This record gives sequence, structure tokens and C-alpha cells, in this order.
Amino acid sequence: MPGLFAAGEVACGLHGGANRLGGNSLADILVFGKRSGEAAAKYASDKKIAEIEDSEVQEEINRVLSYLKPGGVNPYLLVDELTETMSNKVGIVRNGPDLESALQKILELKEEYKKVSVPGGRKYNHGLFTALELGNMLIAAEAIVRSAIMRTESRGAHTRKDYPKKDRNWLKNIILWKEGDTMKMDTVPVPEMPEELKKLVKPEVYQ
Amino acid sequence: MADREVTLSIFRFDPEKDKEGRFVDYKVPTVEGGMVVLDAVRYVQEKIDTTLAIRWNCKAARCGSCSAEINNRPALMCKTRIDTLGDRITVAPMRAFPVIRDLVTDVDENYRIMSKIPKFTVRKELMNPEAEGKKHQDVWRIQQINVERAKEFKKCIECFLCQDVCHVVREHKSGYFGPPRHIVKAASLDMHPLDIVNRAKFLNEEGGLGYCNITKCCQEVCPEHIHITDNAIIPEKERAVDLQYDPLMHAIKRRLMKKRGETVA
Repeated sequence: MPGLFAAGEVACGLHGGANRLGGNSLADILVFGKRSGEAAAKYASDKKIAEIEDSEVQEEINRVLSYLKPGGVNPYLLVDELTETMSNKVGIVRNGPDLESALQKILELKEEYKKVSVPGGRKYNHGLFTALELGNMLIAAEAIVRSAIMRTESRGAHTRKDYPKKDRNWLKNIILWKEGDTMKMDTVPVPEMPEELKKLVKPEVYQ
Repeated sequence: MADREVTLSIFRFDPEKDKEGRFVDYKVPTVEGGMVVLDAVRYVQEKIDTTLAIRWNCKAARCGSCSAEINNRPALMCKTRIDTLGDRITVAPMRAFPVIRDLVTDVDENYRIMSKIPKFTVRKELMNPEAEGKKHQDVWRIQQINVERAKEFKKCIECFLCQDVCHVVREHKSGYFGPPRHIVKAASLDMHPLDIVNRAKFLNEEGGLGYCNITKCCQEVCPEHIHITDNAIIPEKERAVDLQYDPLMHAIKRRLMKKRGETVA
């Protein structure tokens, strides 16, 4: 996407791979934050600010305000259910059946989300924030669960009881995108580790 | 495990709709152990009335957002445990500031005052020590005792509970800066060995330093346990007296300040 610069874990965890430790990402931020910051500044210096259609703004305002009506489903209750599902079934040690049932639950919650609305006005209405956040939470949760189901191996922080071994065939990244209302997914291979780095680490790291 | 039920009496007020605020009672089941008032208030927000407005962020007494008056005592909601209180708990917004809605207050005034406090200023040579053939790290090095003195003040999380409890801020509207936060800020700069501005006169004349009659309430409510009165306000009062009222000290102080290149803000 032109004009989008990212650093750290959102930039696909460059050196951490599937092992996501706080200290690692901190180093990541420092190095790639500097690089992306400089690149973004250079990129922005000869670009104009993009025009935004008033109708698009109005559309977004309408979307946000559409959650403001009494009588709907309380978003906090759905957040609770989602939290419980993700904690119990998509935790540290995962397995196929649990992931499948978590996915079912998330899809149910997605349906339920359409009925969410909150009373009150725009001022300091935390219920409204939660209603807006919940939509994003559901997308993130679905992406996590779908990817976890797809990756039939154990690697880094992703541990599956039914596939306890690291798999050489899974040296690839999973990518997801939106197509209509559904989530599409595919894999892309990761580049082979350069020879000079291979000399520095044990073979099991890159196999 | 709901062990017991407490009644939370929460202040509800929307300045756009209501003429005056009112306390509304909510029944909240509590959990044995570390449950804090913020948990109970959030229970009300999540399960009973989603329109309740509260401001909170970290729930770890770090961000200073969830300041309120719990049983009429200014405190952080996230640091006040339910089991230290009775079965009936009142939660009100900070009364020294205008209410935006329910428990959320407008504390902007504090930041406006803070911007008036003269900034950290050092002698010109310190900005470019290489010009005098000195090393940067040598001229900027300060003693540990000075570091610790300022460290206490830097613990401030800007919850503004000290401003809230201060009877001078509440009653007099005298232009008094409010002790706590702002005098602490000024004191932390004044006590910095490299700073060359003396803020005592400024605090006395514009900040109304003299209004403080050392009741030490601010010190009492500070969640970071900063000795606001003892270590910030009293030393600043002493500085103001030295600088403005005591003829002998006045002479000595002025001479000392001249020698050190200090200025009076």
C-alpha cells in the first residue's frame, strides 16, 4: 500500500519470526522505526496531502453514530464472551478441535455483533467505543484463529498439541485479506536464510 | 465468587441535560481479594448502565486518569481497595474542577497554569561546553543527592488529587496555583543545581504561594507519597521569604545569586 510505513511487530516481525518477545520487538522498533521514519519523511516531503471526499467522511460519521440507539445487544457482554473463548481455546497450547469450535463461536459473535447498539450520546460514551472496538476485535480474533488452524505445526509461540513438531514445509508466512464479507487466506514463502547467517546459528533454527 | 454485595452510590451529571447532579445507587457483587473501586465502577458501566462516563487507562496507578472522590476522600479509583471500605461507597468526581459528565472532570486549567511556570534554564555555557574546551558530560554531571531530590517530584503522575483536596483552590479562587502539582513542578526545577532561575518570587506574587497554610492535605492524598508540603511548598515559602521579606537574607541571597548567575523569574 503506497504511503503506509510500519515498524516493529506490525511490519511482520522481521527478525523475531514466530518468537515474539518484548525485548526483541523493542530492538525491532529502534532499528526499523528509524528506517521507516526517515523513509516516510522523505516520501512525504514531495507529496501532497490526499483529498478526502466529504461524502466518505459523512459515511464514516453515519457508521459510528449508527451504534447509538437504545435497545440493542450490550457490546460488553460480547467482549466478555470473546475474551473467554480466546483465553480458553486459543491460548498457549492449542489443538485443532478447540480452534474449530473457537472459530464457530467467533462467527456466531460476528452475527450477534450486527445487533449491537448502545444508549447515550457522543460525549464520553465508553459503550460506543467498545461497540466500535468490538468489530476490530472480531476481525483480529478471526484472523488469529484461521491462521492457527491453517498452520499445522508448532513453531515459536504457536504450539499445537496435535502437531507438536516443527515442519520444514511450513517455512512460510500466512497472509489474509478481505474479499466481500469473507476472509481469504494464502501462504507466501519466506526467503531462505543467507549463508553467512546460517554459519552463526544452529541448523534447527532455519530448518 | 461473589462474596458480598456493596452499594455503589455514583454521581451522575450531564451538564447539557441536567440542572444538577444526583447520586444513583447500584448494587455490585464483590470478589474477595484485590478488587478495587474502579473494578466496581466498570462493573456498573459494563453490566448495568453503559452510559456511565469514567476516565481511566492503566489500572496500575500510573496514568493518573481515574481520580475521584471515594467516600468524600480524593483517591485513585484503581488504588482504593473495596475491602478497605464499608458496604456503602460513594464515588463522586473531583469537585475542584468542572464536570464534563458523570465522573469525568475537565482538568485543562492545570495544564494552562503549568505552562506559565518558567522553564528549565541553564547558563549559556552549558549549551555549548565544547566552545570553552570542556566536555559535555563534565559540565552536566550533578550529584546523586540532587538527583534524588528531584526524583521524588518527578514521581508525580498528574492525577491532580492534591489540587482537588486543597481548600485554597476550592474556596478562594484567588489565582493560587494550587499547591501541589504546580509548586512541586516549580520546586523540582528550582532545586536542580544547573537551573539558574529562582521561581520563588514568581510563585509568591503570581501563584499565591502565601495562601497555603500548610494543612498538608495534599501530602495526605498523594498516591505517589510525594512529601508535597514538606519538601516542595515549605522550601519554596522559605525561598520567597529570603528573597522578598528578610532584609539580611535578602542581601546575602541576592549576592549569592549574582555570583552564580541566577535570575529571578
